[in-house]
Amino acid sequence: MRQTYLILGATSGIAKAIARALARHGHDLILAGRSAEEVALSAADLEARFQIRARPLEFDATRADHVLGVLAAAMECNDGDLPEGVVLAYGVMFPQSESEANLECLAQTIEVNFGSAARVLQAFGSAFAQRGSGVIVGISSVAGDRGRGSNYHYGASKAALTVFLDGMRHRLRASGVHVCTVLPGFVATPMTYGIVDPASPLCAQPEQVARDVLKAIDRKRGRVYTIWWWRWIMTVIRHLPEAVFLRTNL
Amino acid sequence: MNTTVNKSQLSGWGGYRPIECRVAAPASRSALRQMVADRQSHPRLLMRGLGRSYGDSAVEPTGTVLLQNNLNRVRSFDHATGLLRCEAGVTLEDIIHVVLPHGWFLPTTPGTKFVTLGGAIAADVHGKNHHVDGTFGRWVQRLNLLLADGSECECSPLEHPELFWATIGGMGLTGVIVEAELQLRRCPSAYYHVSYRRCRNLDATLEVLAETDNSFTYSVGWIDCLGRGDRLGRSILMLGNDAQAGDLSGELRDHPFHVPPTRRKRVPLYFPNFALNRLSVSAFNYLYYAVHPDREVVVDYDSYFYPLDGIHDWNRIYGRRGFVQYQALFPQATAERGLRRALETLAAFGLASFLAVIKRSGPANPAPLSYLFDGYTLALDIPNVGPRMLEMARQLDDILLAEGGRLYLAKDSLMSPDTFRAMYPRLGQFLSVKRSVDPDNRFTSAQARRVGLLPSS
Ligand SMILES: Cc1cc2nc3c(=O)[nH]c(=O)nc-3n(C[C@H](O)[C@H](O)[C@H](O)COP(=O)(O)OP(=O)(O)OC[C@H]3O[C@@H](n4cnc5c(N)ncnc54)[C@H](O)[C@@H]3O)c2cc1C
Ligand SMILES: NC(=O)c1ccc[n+]([C@@H]2O[C@H](COP(=O)([O-])OP(=O)(O)OC[C@H]3O[C@@H](n4cnc5c(N)ncnc54)[C@H](OP(=O)(O)O)[C@@H]3O)[C@@H](O)[C@H]2O)c1
Repeated sequence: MRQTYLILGATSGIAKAIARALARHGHDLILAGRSAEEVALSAADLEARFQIRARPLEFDATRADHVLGVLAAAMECNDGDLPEGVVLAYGVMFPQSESEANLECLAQTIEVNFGSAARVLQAFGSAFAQRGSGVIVGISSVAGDRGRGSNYHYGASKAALTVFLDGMRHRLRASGVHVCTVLPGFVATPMTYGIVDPASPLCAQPEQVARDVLKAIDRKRGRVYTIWWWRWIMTVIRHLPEAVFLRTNL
Repeated sequence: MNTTVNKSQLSGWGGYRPIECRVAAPASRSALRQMVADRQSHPRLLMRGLGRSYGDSAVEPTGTVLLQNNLNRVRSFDHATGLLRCEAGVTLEDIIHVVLPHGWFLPTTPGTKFVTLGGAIAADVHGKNHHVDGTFGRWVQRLNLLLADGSECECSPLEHPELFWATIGGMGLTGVIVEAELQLRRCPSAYYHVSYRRCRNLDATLEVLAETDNSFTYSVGWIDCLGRGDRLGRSILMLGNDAQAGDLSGELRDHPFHVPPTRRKRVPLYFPNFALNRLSVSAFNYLYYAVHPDREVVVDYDSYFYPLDGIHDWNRIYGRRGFVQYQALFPQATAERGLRRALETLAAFGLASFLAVIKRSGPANPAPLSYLFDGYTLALDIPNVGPRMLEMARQLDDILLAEGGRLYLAKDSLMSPDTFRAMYPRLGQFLSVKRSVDPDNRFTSAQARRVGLLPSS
C-alpha cells in the first residue's frame, strides 16, 4: 500500500539509499534536511525516477524550533496526516581528537546524534502510539556497542540512541508501533570518505543497508545489524575482558 | 561540509601506469562549488566519472581529482518529449533504467553503460550509429557549467556556442559539467534485430559496411587482426535495427520495454577480446564458420550494446601492467589503404588482441576536439609488454599520420605532442575558449599535459 515516510537527514548517504528503496516500492516521502538545495534536488530526483510524491522539509537538528516543530511540519507536508513512518538518519562524527580538543564538537555530537533525536523520536512515538500504528527506524551504530578509545564521543551518543530506541520499542510494543534499531558497521558514505576504503569487505554499500532496513520494516524486526555479521563481531568485542580490551587499539 | 581529500592510486580503465592522486568526493552541490571556489586548497582540478576512459584522461597527480558519485540526481524527465535533465554524475545505466520503461533510450551509447553523463559529454562519445545519429554531443541541448573562477554558466548551441562546443569533447578542461539536458530517442522496444554478415576480406568488409549505411541504424564488426594475404581484414559484421514490439515473441510482445533478468547475457554476441587472445586463429575460424551467413537474431539492448558489462572488472585480465587501447580513425577516401597497412602491421607484430572492432563513422560536428569524422575506426587492446608495444604503437601512429587519421583521447595512453597537434587541427579554436574561461589552466589532466594540449608542468 502506498504510504508516506518521513526521512530525517534525507541527504545522508544511507538515507538517500533508503529513500530510493522506499520510493521504488511506491511510497511517498517527506525529505527533511538542513540544506534546502540538496533536499530539493533529492526530491525532484525521486519524483522523476519513481513517479511518487517527495516533499522537501527544512530541518536542522541544532535548531530547537525545527526539532520541536518537526511533527507539525511533517503533517503539513502530508495533507494534514501523520506519516506512516519515520526514518531518523542524520548524525555527525568528528574525529575523536578534534572532539577532545574542541568541546563544542562534543556537545554537538551529543545534541545532534542523541539530544535532538530523542525529542523527535518521542514526539512521533507518542503520536504513533495514539494512532495505534507506525514505524520508527533509527540509524544508530555499532560504535555504541562498546566505548572505544578511538571513537567514544560519537560512540556514547550512539549508545544513548540505541538504548532510547530499544526502550521505546519495549514501551510501544503493545500499541502497534514498530521501532527498529539499525546498527550499521562501516558504510561507504561521505561520513567515512577517506577513513574507510569503500572497496574493503568490511565496508557495506548504502544500498545494502537500505535493503536490510526495508526487510526489517517488512518483517517488523527490532534490532538489525548491517552487514549481519557485525552482530557477531560486536558480540566478541563486547565480551572481551576489560583487561584484554584495554590493551587493544580499537 | 565534507570536502575531505584522500590519496589514492588512479589510472584509466587500461590500468596502464597508475599514479597517486589527491581525490575528493564532494558530498553535495555546495561542497562542489566550495571546492572549485577554493583556489588556495585546490589550485588545479579535474573531474572524474567512472574512470572508463582507457588512459590518463581522468587522472591528475598535480591537482585534486573530483568524483561525482554524490552528484547523480535526475532533475526532470518529460515522458512526452523525451527531454531529460540530470546531474553529470548520473550513469548511462541509471538513465536507461529511468527512461526505457517509458519508451525512450539513449540517442547513442558507447560499448559500456558504466560511464557517467559527464564523461560521455566530455569525451563526446559515439556508438554504433554514428553514421546515422552523430555523437553523444549532438543530442545535448544545454549544459550547466561551473567555471574556474567559481561562476556558473549555462550554455547551448545558441547561447555561448563556443563554450558549449569546446566542452563537448573537451575532456573536462573547460570546467565542471554540473548538469546537462539530453534529448532521448524514441525506441519501439528494448530489443534489436541483429544480422550477421561474414566478409571474407577487407574489401568485402568495407563494401558491406558502405552498402548497409542506409538500411541499418547500428553497425559494428569484428575484424581478424592476424589474417594475412587474401584473408586480410576478414570480419564478422553485426548490423542492427530497432525491433518493433510486434516482432517480439510471446510474452515479450506485451512488455516490450522489459528485459527479464534471465534473458540477459544469454546471447554471447561477442566474445570478449581477451578470451580469444590465446586461442588465436582457430577461434576466429570457429566463430567465422559457426555464425551462419545472414543469420538474424533478436537480442536485448544489454546483449547488443554492452556485451562486456556482464563481466565485472574484465580489464584486470591483462594483469598488473595493464594494457592500452588503440582506436584509429581513417578518413573515408583512403580508408582501405590505411586499414590495410594497419592490419599488416598488427599481423606482423602479433601483439594486439587478435580481434579488433571496426566501426563506420559519419560527418564531424562543430566541437573542436571531437574525435570522429567521415571514415572507419579500428579499435583494439594492446597488452603492456613494454618496448615492443611502444614500437608497434609508434608504427601505427606513423601510418595514421600519413593517412590523415586520428587517435581518440578517451582511449589514448601514448600519443606524443607532435602527433596530437597534427591530428587535431582545430586545437587553436579550443585553446582560445580555454584561455577565455580558464586562463590559469586550473582544469588540467595528466593526458592534457602529456599530449601538449596544456603546458607540461
Ligand atoms: C568497455 C568500454 C567500451 C567503450 N566503448 C566506447 C565506444 O563505443 N565509444 C566511445 O566513444 N567510447 C567508448 N568507451 C570510452 C568511454 O565511453 C569514455 O572514455 C567515457 O568518457 C568514459 O566516461 P567516464 O564517466 O568513465 O569518465 P572518465 O573516464 O572518468 O573521464 C573521462 C573524461 O571526462 C571528463 N569528465 C567526467 N565528468 C566530467 C564533468 N562532470 N565535467 C567535465 N568533465 C568531466 C574527465 O575529466 C575526463 O577527461 C568505452 C570504454 C570502455 C571501458
Ligand atoms: N557511514 C558509516 O560508516 C556509518 C556507520 C554507522 C552508523 N552511521 C550513521 O548513519 C547515519 C547516516 O550517516 P551517513 O553514513 O549516511 O553519513 P553522511 O552522508 O555524512 O550523513 C550524515 C547526515 O547528517 C546530516 N546532519 C548532520 N548534522 C545535522 C544537523 N544539525 N541537522 C540536520 N542534519 C544534520 C548531514 O546533513 P548534510 O547533508 O546537510 O551535511 C548528513 O546528511 C548517521 O546517523 C551515522 O552516524 C554511519
